[in-house]
Amino acid sequence: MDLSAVLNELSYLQSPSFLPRERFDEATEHAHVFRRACRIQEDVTQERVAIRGVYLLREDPNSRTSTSTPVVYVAEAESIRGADEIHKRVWNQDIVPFLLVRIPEGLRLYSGFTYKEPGQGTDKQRGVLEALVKFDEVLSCLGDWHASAIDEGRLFRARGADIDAKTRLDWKLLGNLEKLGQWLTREKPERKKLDRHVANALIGKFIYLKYLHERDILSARKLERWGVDISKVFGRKATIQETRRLIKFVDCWLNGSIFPIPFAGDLAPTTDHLREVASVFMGDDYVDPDTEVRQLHLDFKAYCFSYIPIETLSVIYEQFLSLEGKAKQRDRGAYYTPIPLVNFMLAELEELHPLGDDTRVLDPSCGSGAFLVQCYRRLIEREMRQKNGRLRPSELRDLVVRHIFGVDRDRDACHVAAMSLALTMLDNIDPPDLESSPTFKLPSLIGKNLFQDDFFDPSSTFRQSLGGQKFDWIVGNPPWVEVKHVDTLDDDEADDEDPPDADDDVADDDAADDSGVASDEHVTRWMHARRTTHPVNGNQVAEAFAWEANEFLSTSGKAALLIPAMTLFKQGKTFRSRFFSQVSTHAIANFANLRMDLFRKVKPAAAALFFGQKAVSPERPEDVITYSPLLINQETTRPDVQGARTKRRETWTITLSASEIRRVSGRALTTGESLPLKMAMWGSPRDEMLLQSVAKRCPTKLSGYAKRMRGRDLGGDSYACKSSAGIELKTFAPNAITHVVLAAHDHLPELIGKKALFPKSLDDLNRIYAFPNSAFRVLGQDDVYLRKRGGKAGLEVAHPPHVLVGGARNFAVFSDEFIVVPSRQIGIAGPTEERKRLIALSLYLNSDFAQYYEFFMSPQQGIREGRSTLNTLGELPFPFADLSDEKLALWEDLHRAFVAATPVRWVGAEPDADSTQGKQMGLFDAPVVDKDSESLLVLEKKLNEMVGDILGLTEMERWLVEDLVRVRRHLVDGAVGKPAIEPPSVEELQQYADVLRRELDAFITEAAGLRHEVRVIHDEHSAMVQLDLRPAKQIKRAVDVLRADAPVARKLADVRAKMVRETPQWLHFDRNLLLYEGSKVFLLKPLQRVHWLRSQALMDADEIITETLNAEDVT
Amino acid sequence: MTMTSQSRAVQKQSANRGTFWDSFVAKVHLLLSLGYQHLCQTKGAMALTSEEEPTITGFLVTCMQEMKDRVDWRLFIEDDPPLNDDGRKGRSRPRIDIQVTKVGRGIQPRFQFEAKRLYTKKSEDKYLEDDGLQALLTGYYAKGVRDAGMLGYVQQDTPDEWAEKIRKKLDANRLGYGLDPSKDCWSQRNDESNLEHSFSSHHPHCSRPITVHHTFLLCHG
Repeated sequence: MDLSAVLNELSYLQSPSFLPRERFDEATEHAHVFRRACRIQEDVTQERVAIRGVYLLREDPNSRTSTSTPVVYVAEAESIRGADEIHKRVWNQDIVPFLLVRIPEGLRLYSGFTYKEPGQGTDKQRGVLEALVKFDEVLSCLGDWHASAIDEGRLFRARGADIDAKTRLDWKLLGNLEKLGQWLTREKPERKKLDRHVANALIGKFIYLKYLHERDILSARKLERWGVDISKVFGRKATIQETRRLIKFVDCWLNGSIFPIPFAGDLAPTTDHLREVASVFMGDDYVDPDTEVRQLHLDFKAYCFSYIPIETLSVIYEQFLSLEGKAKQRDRGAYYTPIPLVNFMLAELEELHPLGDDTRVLDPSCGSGAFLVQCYRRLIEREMRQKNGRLRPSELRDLVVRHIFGVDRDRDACHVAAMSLALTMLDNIDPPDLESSPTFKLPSLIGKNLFQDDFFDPSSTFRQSLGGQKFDWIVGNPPWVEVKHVDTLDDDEADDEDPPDADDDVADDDAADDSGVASDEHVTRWMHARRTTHPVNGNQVAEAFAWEANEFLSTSGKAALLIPAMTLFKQGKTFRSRFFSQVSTHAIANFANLRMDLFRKVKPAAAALFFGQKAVSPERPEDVITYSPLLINQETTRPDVQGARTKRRETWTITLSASEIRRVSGRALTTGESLPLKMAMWGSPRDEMLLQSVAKRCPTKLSGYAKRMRGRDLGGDSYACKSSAGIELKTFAPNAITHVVLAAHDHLPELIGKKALFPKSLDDLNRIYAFPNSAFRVLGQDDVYLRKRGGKAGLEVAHPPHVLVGGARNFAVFSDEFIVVPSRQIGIAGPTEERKRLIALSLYLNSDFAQYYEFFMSPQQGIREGRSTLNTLGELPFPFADLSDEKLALWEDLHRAFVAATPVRWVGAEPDADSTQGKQMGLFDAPVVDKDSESLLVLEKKLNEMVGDILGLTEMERWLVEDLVRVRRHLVDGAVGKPAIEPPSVEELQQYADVLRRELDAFITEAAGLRHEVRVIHDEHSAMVQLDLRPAKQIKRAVDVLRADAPVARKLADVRAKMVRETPQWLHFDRNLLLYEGSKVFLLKPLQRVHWLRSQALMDADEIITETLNAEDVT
Repeated sequence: MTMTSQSRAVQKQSANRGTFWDSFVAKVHLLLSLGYQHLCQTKGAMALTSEEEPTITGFLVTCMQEMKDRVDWRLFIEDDPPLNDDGRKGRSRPRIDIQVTKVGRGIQPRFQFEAKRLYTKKSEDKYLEDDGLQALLTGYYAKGVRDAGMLGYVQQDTPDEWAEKIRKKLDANRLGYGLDPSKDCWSQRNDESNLEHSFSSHHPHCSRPITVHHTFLLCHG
């Protein structure tokens, strides 16, 4: 069976998603990687090997700007050995997760993300997924790699575990570099330990040299011309002298030194150090010369540096350098941008402002140049398309010199960026050693295109060289750090934009650390000087970058910056309101839900902001496109759900699903409110209406009620109604009490013997309506030191009657006992006459509506599992303010029922009734709520009904509340909770269809005499809805739910098959696929509950109405 | 695929478009009817006798907004909004008197009304010429939609009289107004809005086919 037959069997040849090697250039952002793969034959001389094609996920095969995700390389070799050689190089490319190689005996299947040298470990550990598949077994053994399996996501569900981030090249190389660094900096009897900075420089330099050598940039003829003996650089015979000679030539040739190594002085590495590193890079194990014991096995033989994409290498460099001072990097807020995210942002930018002949790109915080390298690649690809062929070296040089600019405070990062751009250039020159272009000089980028500067330094070289110039693309991932002391600067200091004198306390050189990183002085001054015109919240540096980037944008230019997602949601809204008013915001991509999987180690919630300069007369801002992907919709990386635990996978690609794209009113954004963006992420205009109408129906807020009660003269020792965060009590042993302690704390003997809430004990409990005894600790003499700074206000809410609310919003319990409320928890207390109202409040806070309301109003909720704040609680509508005693009694009855329903099971050892010690030890002596208790579920249903009634919620509004709290909320922060992803029941499908029909019919004028007929057919994975607008009289059965294999569903199943044929990768790119055909509308979705909620039916109806109104008449 | 390319409307074809538009137009006119009734109840038609067009429009829009939930909460009503068609920016953008938008995901469908006072002989021309009906026919307003509205604020005589005057003028110059020479150009609107003086004229032969809904509201005592 030849390869064509195999491809035919897998249906690749018939698919527009399969790119044969002749068409690799069509996948713009991966073309350079694919082209390199085509040259494997040059390195594998013993037999014929070749990459023949690649299967992609791509939404629009006809678009050149469209992003794509490579899934399977298809290759040919003459033997297993040849196939293994291809595998090694594909793993080094770190882009394509699977590799299928045809050999004469059959097919071998590899993981593109796992590799070990032959002979090391099992086939699986080496990344061999199928050692040999006979030609007559292709479909039975490789069914998961069939085109339809990739298109429909079956491959990722079945074999997702084979895409393992931990075995990918970048993780492995970084791990090896770390180990080598640790090895060199360890004290050894036979040699001195190496300074960490020097060790890193030595390693960095060797990666660089190795890379140049393997890419044939340091070709044999070049080395010969220089008279360098390469065996004295790489390998056990390495000498300092020869290495220095080579470095000197290279530095001179490539315009500058990166990772300078001090070859003289105390810190200088010895020949032993050099040989250890050189041996490792040659793939040798380091063997102790005395004992001949293998001491360091790093398996560098696995690496083919000529196949590692430059952008991958520069990110590895940057990560590696950051290890030098982890704390320092975190302080500087430097988070490394994953390459899929870089590509996502640049594709968007190209759509907004296509690269042109004069486009100038600036990255004001370029780091090691991940964005700049990819921009440069896009420019090269564009130019090659225009010229229909390769570019001359001078053309490549002009491209980088004319178009690419970057700034970074970190010296090493700047040099890595310069190196990466130079290597990208050489990557496109054949031969890359430039020996055929003797007059060609590589550009000197440092100081001309790349500046080791502070972007905010008014006297920086960058500003002196390029100040006043404008850029068409501004890209990057600025530091996410909050600077201090902005408010303490006086105006004179802030206005002083001249460089500090040598006598100044904080001179640049003093402020710079050993990596050349200056302090935050300039941005601090910038923030202070512009605090009224360009405000930032929380002194967030990324926000200052966004402001300043706008100043550098050309009139039609566009910026794409990665900022903390919390900038969009945090309480302070001055930045949002001013920034969105003063720029023209085009789009916001909020990656908060992918944070756990998109980033390594540090897991920041990130958002990409796309903006340009505001039009001259901005009266009516245009709508802003938003995209907030849920992990559940990332079919390629969505974790499996097996039992209660989920295994997370690193996001190796981002697929953009159209169903997650929304529009937000530009005008709404200019208010600075975070609600419109929260709605775009989790809600709909209907949710917005719900919040507005509840506010109208119930104008009293909880804070307003508390205020009203405070105004009353209660007399005696009654406490006014008060809500407060708790108090911070400290425990000091008698011998630890010093005058410092006493100065900072008040001793409160009146609290001795009282109960204090111990919220940690409630962590694992769901909603509770009464406290178990383990929830308290009894305060002793040493435990009652109150921090003066926190104040005593929180003490008032310890008095009953009161409601205690968990800061993590895991409980709201009414109590008649005196209980001290610790800090970060919330207490709401009132006079005895308000007892019933407080009971009602405690139940209300446990209702779905309260959680729904807080979800939208709290800054953090929906981004991460957020905490409740007094402010958010205070905003809750309070429907009990004027409720009669008679009606309040109903709530009191319900509360009683809740408390009575709780004794279901004991947790831990059952307490001995006679023992008081048991209680003090914290054993439960009160029942623990069983959240699955049927009686509790019934009571909760009743509670939600009572809350709905008292707030006057309509039926539809109740669906919105219930669906968010019970289902959608299980997807927050990249969760894939069962309630959201399980298949819906037939009854739920029926409900969905019914709501959809009712909603659409409600729009259609009665005069038309037409109504919708709805059919749903489903299998295990997806379902299709057919809507047919027909004369009302002809409709016998308005809603029907059928299984796809039912005989009556055959016709519909055919339509569904046709729909899938026409849009084979719909599951990746549009999980709410709509098709219009005559008077019928078809809707295809995955069979996951979250897509079949009644609230979703309302949204789908809205979408169908809008799309139909915008459609054309059938011709 | 990018967010921007995805958000651009992909023009689909649907046989239901006509029914949906008729329903949308009916809803808009029901809202207009309720808003006008509310205006008459709160201010009285007499109070509008000598008001300028923008003032009456302002009152009417406020009343329509108050009635919105009785028709469809997804309708968004604007008074004198600038239009972002044609790529014009800032103050050079045209402004329509009333715009009703159907709120939802994606490109939002809208229905636009141009309003004119009807009180002197010249009013007829103003209603029909460049700033009035012609602006809808040429696509200066209501670009890319199949239906739009004209509002006549009748400050003298009766709505029926003005409707007849307008009809005659249209009939007299069918070619100029892009009307079908062989068909009746003017028909009474008939939907759940129950507006008394509401008519439709269909213009298949102007820059693009459009149906204009003319409603005459009594604005004097």
